[in-house]
Amino acid sequence: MARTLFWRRVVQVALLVAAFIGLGVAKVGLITVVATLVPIGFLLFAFVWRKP
Amino acid sequence: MNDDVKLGGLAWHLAVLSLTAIGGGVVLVAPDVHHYVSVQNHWLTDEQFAAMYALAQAAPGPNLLFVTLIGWMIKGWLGAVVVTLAAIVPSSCLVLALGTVINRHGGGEGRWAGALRDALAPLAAGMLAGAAWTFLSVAGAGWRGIVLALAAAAAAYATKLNPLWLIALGALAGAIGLV
Repeated sequence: MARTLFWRRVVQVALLVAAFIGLGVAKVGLITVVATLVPIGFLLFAFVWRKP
Repeated sequence: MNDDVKLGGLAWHLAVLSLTAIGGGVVLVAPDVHHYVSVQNHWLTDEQFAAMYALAQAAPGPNLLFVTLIGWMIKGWLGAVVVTLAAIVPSSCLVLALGTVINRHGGGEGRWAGALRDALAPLAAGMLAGAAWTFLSVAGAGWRGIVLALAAAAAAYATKLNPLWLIALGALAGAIGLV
């Protein structure tokens, strides 16, 4: 369980950093950031690292 | 009023943007709307856009309604009505549809709602930080502005201080030339 919680936290930090870089630094646009990262995050949390 | 405005294009752009504004609508949408109406299409000057944005922020009600003022500036009452509906209706329908689906599958504490919430929370924080970075870059705030923004974010996170105090302190820092 601790391992799952650890990886969930890692993925959340990765999503946060990716959103920051995408929107703030790389300026790829809001629509691109949301359309890319929301499905990735949802699928990871729904199927790979589900809440214990 | 601008006769060259393609209201349908603006409405479509706003409708799509409104569906992607997670966490802080006005902060996330404003840079994109500014790029579309001022940089890409030249319907408003930077000063006009900033004035409409500031007016909407100061007025009571949802801040996202700054798009109403922008629509009114570039196409009169028709523009105001069309862009307001474009900004509100699609996102309201999305929330309604998602709420219905989530309620059928375990409610707010169910598996799907939990996964969506777990994904959206860090994304909203990251996108707000990205939007703040964009505003700082555009404003030419420099390292002092970045330090001030980080300090304000830390204070907002760690304390229960009313945000108005943080805004007032930021304004004071600007007024005395610190940033």
